[in-house]
Amino acid sequence: MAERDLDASLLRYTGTGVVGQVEYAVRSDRRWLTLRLGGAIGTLRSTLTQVDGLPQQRTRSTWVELEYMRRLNARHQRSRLYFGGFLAARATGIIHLYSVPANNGAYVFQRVWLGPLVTIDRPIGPKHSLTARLGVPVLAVIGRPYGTLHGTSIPLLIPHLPLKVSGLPTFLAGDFALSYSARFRGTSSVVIGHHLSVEHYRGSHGVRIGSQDISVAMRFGGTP
Amino acid sequence: MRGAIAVTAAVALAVAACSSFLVGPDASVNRVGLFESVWSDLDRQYAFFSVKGVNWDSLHDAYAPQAGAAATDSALGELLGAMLSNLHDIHVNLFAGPRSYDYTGYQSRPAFFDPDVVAYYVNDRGGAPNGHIAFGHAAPDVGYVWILHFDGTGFAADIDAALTQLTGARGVIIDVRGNPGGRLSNMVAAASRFADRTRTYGFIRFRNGPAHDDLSTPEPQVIAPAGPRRFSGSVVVLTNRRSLSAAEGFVLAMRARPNVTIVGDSTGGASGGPLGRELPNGWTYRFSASMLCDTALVPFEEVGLAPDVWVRGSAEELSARRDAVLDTALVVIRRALH
Repeated sequence: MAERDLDASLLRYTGTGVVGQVEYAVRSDRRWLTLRLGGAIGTLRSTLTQVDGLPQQRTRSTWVELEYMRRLNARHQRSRLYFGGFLAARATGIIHLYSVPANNGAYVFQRVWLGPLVTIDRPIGPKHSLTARLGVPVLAVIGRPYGTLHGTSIPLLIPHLPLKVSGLPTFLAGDFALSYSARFRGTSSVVIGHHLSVEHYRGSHGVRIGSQDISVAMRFGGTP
Repeated sequence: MRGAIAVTAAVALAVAACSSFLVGPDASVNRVGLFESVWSDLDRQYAFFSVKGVNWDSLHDAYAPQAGAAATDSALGELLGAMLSNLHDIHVNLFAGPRSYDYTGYQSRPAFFDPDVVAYYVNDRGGAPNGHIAFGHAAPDVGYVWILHFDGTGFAADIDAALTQLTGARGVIIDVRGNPGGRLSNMVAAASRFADRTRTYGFIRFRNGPAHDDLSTPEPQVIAPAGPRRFSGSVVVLTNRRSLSAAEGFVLAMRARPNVTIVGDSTGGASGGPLGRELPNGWTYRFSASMLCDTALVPFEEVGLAPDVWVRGSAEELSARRDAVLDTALVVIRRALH
């Protein structure tokens, strides 16, 4: 993970974390609907971080995503090309910790995305497939408290959260996922995936977030 | 299948080292950029502009050209330190490598407090286990608790040890003269031992907008009874112009309770809540991003909290081993006890 929240620090913070995600998909030969819930936590460091691990940023993210796609190409074609749209709500909280606890602060960046989505699904043999998905939000609603939340707790709901509608180019983001699935028993599959998400908000105090994860997942249920 | 795995792995590896690149490199460390970062950060988040009456834009005009001309990093540190000192705020500090720049105006204020003179009044003075508190008896039925600061750990244990030793005292004098403050949690731990019920002792307001007077709605600060041993009798709190920050929060928390008299000089008036920041060259700084106000929502930054009974003392009295503030406190508490 990598973050640069200018409210929290001018510095880039990078590190590793853990991600978990649950996905529910309804898929026919022509349509593909997906609902996804996920979360990630990580501990990030900067060039100023000392041997005691401070200063550091502890980051937490949660997201809900809804995707709907229709197949573009003909049924007989081996590769399936889908196009559609997605609506995603994401919240990222950063707790910035210093060696002097009084200096600590918490920061929140919330956004709702709307944008097009394209997916290519390529069967490889009778049991395997490779899927690549790219989503690019073109409209976002940004929710960002002014400055720090003063402390190390991030409330679930932030009252009077100022919202700002943002579009290209003030908000640039891309979400790319590549996965390989192998059916191993009946309709169950193992899915090995890589996910890369990049976002850059150029607001008065901007945010850049880049994260990627490599995952191993189980998929239950049939695919056409 | 192997090819698919290889493709997935190759893509993963190709971008594995790139996520940090995706958020861009750290900003360049030129001196003008550092100056502008600090100035604009305070411009956006410092809480006391409306209280201090400082023209921050004018300070930018005065110091920015010098930042461009600063020949060395240490010259820039001096310059930033000089600019920040105009805020007269002990919670505004710049840590530029081995040097720190702090507002030192408080150090010239009259204190007229000498622990060695207090020792003539408190013959049995001893220290609490963690060294944050000293205590004894100022009279057979009057305890004396000197809270040196509100920093460190084990604070609750110290105040509990003091109250255990002072069992039987009908009144307690708490001395926070020269107390430079520290952690708010320690202040709350100390005050909670004297609380009779949950009370609001002040309000905190945060800077929450681009205008210098954009402040959040006041958030009440409460003190509630806590600890294994609490004191419910008469209390006198001693203050002077060097009772600062968390010590002033303590005074607010104590005076919310009945049977408490504040004796001495006004407190220092350091009521900011500090927020830490860092610069790409490794320097760090902090500033007040919030303000503590009294229960009437009146800020007391720089002016301090006025005592109930004003006594300043003098160097001559201290030379004669007399502590005028403590003398007055003994009169006040004796009157309260009878």
